[in-house]
Amino acid sequence: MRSVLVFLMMGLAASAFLFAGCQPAGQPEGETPAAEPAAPVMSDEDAIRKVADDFVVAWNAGDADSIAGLFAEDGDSLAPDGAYYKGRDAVAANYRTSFEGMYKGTTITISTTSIRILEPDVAIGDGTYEIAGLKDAEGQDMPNIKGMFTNIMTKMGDKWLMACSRPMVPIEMPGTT
Amino acid sequence: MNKRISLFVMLSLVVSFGTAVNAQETTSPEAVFEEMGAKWAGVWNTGDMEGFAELYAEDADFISHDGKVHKGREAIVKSFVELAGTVFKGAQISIERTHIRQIKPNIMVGDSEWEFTGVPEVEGQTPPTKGTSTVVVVNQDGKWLITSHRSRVPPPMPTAPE
Repeated sequence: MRSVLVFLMMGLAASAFLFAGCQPAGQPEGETPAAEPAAPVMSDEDAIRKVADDFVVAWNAGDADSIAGLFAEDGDSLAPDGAYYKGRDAVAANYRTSFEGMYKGTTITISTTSIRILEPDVAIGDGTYEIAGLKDAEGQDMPNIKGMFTNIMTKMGDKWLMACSRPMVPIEMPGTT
Repeated sequence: MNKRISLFVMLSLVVSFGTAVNAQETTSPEAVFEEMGAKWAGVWNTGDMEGFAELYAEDADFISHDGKVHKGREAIVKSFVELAGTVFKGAQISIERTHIRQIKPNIMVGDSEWEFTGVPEVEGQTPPTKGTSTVVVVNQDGKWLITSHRSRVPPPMPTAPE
């Protein structure tokens, strides 16, 4: 019986503490505080699209480290030419080299065309990209590169990151059309 | 007493079932992709294109080297039937696994390099016969199926300005 009483008292004390926490100090009784506007919750699709948007901003600033930051720590990238980079450091180093070389001064536009959520924390994002401002070895203008990409995305906490980046440049093969 | 026996039997069944599932999950990712690559090449090389249906999930998608998007198992099989009716008719494929990533116990990503042999020249040009593929495979009811397949042929890349 004694233990029941102690339990009840503890319960009341806990309730009092919790409710005290709900009432802001100095809030006049009977008045409801103005509700603070809730931060808009971004849908998974929008969050995945935003990764592509952030990629564009980073590319156009020539910011290799920010691009690498959009990857999972052990994320990887398989370039259209078959070169493979694993981990943020390798991804950053590759983009750094590219921004000092063939992609120097280029800009990119991206359009996300499809997002498949496989599981709440795994998705596949597809889209197209176009790189403009390319120069050849003599500094002459080159045609834009038009490609497609597939990103396998994973959600870490509340953040979507690229686990695998698989860009490609579609080509017509003779004898197949 | 009877109740206890029933509970024991039920628990044993649950444990047995769990063990079977676990045994399946312990198949190494390498073994899964080894088997899948061998089956894929086997289907192509024997010309039995309908066999591809066994390898893809119902809602799978495939983007081919030319950027065409094929959605659904049926469309994917059709795309390979069409490819087999081109200059690639009778060509043999070999597939070599290059990278594997286990995303979750039931989702993996695998990259591979493929090469066709026996592709004839077309108007003096040899079509590209080497490329890479990336597949996302999912475990559905104990069976690994391709849900996403991307095939690439390396494009000519620009040379850096001096």
